[in-house]
Amino acid sequence: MNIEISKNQLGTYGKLKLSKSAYSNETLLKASYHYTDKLYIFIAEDSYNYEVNMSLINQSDNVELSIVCGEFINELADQEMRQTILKETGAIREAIVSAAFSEAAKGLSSTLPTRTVPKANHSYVDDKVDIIQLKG
Amino acid sequence: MNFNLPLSIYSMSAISDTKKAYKDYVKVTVKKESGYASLHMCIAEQYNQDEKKEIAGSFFNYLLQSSASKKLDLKEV
Repeated sequence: MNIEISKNQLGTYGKLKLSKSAYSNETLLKASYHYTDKLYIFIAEDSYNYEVNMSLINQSDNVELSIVCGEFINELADQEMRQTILKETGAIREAIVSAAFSEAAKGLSSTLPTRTVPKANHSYVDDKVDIIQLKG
Repeated sequence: MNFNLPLSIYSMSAISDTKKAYKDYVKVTVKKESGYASLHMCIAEQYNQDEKKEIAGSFFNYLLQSSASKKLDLKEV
């Protein structure tokens, strides 16, 4: 994976080719989204690769462009790792969260007293339980 | 300028939103093809080279952010 620095009618840009088998489009979207404050990014593709075209928002030299593109590659690796961990542990995390919430919800009653349930013809003016009363 | 936008990355509704948002700066025609959208972009002549770069670049960033928001279900802040 290398960055090819080129020029077109809009100025200098870095071109990065990424294998579709190595990176998911979610990873690419997340990393690109993260870098839109530093880079202008345009993504193209062919059958096997994504082609990420990047140019610096603040005009600078090629060295700076190479450095930011390098950071972008690190961000891609980071996001890909996050996706992998999410796939591996997503079910466990969901189970822990739902167990925690079900424990917390044990003391709560799911039914509201009838008098607090608003009817179709009620408006906030008919607030009988003083929900909108100013306090403090 | 012509670009082919992969629909696995960019969404058609995001393209439409971005086109509307930049209508004062750039004329865009879009044609949907199989797996990609073909986009022709024409930036008004009144702008200099740096401004054209800024308009084209921010157009694509807006499009990318909008597509990411839709595809990844991100909440806009």
